[in-house]
Amino acid sequence: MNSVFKREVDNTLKVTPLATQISSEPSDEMLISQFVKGSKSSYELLVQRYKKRVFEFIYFQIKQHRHDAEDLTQDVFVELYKKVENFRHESKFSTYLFSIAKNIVLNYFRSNSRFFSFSQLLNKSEDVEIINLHDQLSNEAEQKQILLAINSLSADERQIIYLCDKENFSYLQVSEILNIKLGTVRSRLSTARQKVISALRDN
Amino acid sequence: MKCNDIQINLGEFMDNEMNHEKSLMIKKHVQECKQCFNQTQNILFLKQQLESLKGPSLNSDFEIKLQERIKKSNTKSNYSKFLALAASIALIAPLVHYLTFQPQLNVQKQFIIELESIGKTAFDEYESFHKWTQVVSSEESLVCGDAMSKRYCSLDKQYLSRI
Repeated sequence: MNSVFKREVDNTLKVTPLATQISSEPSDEMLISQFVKGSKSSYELLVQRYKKRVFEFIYFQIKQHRHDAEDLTQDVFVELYKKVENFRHESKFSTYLFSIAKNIVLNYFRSNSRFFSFSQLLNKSEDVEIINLHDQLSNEAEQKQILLAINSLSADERQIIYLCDKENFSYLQVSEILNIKLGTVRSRLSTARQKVISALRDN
Repeated sequence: MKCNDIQINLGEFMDNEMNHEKSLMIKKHVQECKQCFNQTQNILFLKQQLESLKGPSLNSDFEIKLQERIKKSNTKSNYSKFLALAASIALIAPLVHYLTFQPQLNVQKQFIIELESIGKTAFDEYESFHKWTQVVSSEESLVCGDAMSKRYCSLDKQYLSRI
């Protein structure tokens, strides 16, 4: 029973080895500064560093349309190239980049009318007994069912659950990326998680 | 606290985004309540599943395509800058021309009216012009409508008819 408690949960976080921390890889902020001064190789390094993360974020937001996700990922990096001066070093670079990605995804939904306003997932009453999903789902079905459950969320909920649980951004960073209040992050994330858990339980 | 209140805050607790005092309270409750414990397990399971979620690989030509798009966007950007500059010049040039030459035209028109009022036709001769007019201000300067010849120059100060 203890395995879920805060201290133990913290232990599950990935700890960067000291050797990696000391490595000579330039920080994102350093690369951005060099890029602003005209270093194209710094830009290429940033693309290398973030292309997969940005692509996966977009891929799961637009419900696994791979071709569109790739195009949109390019849009993100073109936008970064054009508007790099807008980065004011007040937040982390990853926060800035994901906020660009979020806006690009939003425009995609607007232009394609693929915006799902609200999911129709069941809202179970509070008295339902909470079963342990891990016992219920087989390993093979897990990922598929998780994907289906995430796809059934609204775009806002999909974004927040991905940024918090996949990207491990803090609530503050998520509020900056999505440009919403901290309280909204808390409530929206809680709702999104509950919906996914309910969907998994019902399947 | 009831289970409902606890469960609303479980996500925050699991994400380590809660203050220490509240966190201890929830921890104590979860230790004693199977329902809430199961819910923490579900959130943990969900987080682990999402962390291990993987998309397909990007195409190998992703960066080549990106470079091409950036080149295109630079060309477009330069072209649009040129267009904006040309449009600005097209708009501003007539305005500058109007503001520069209109006052002189007004003065000349006034001279003609004055000369006509005293029976003369126009100031085609500099001498005859001065014969019939006087300078109101003590300062005077020559303004030329045609840079090539002083024939069409005029004084840019107010004139009054001597009569």
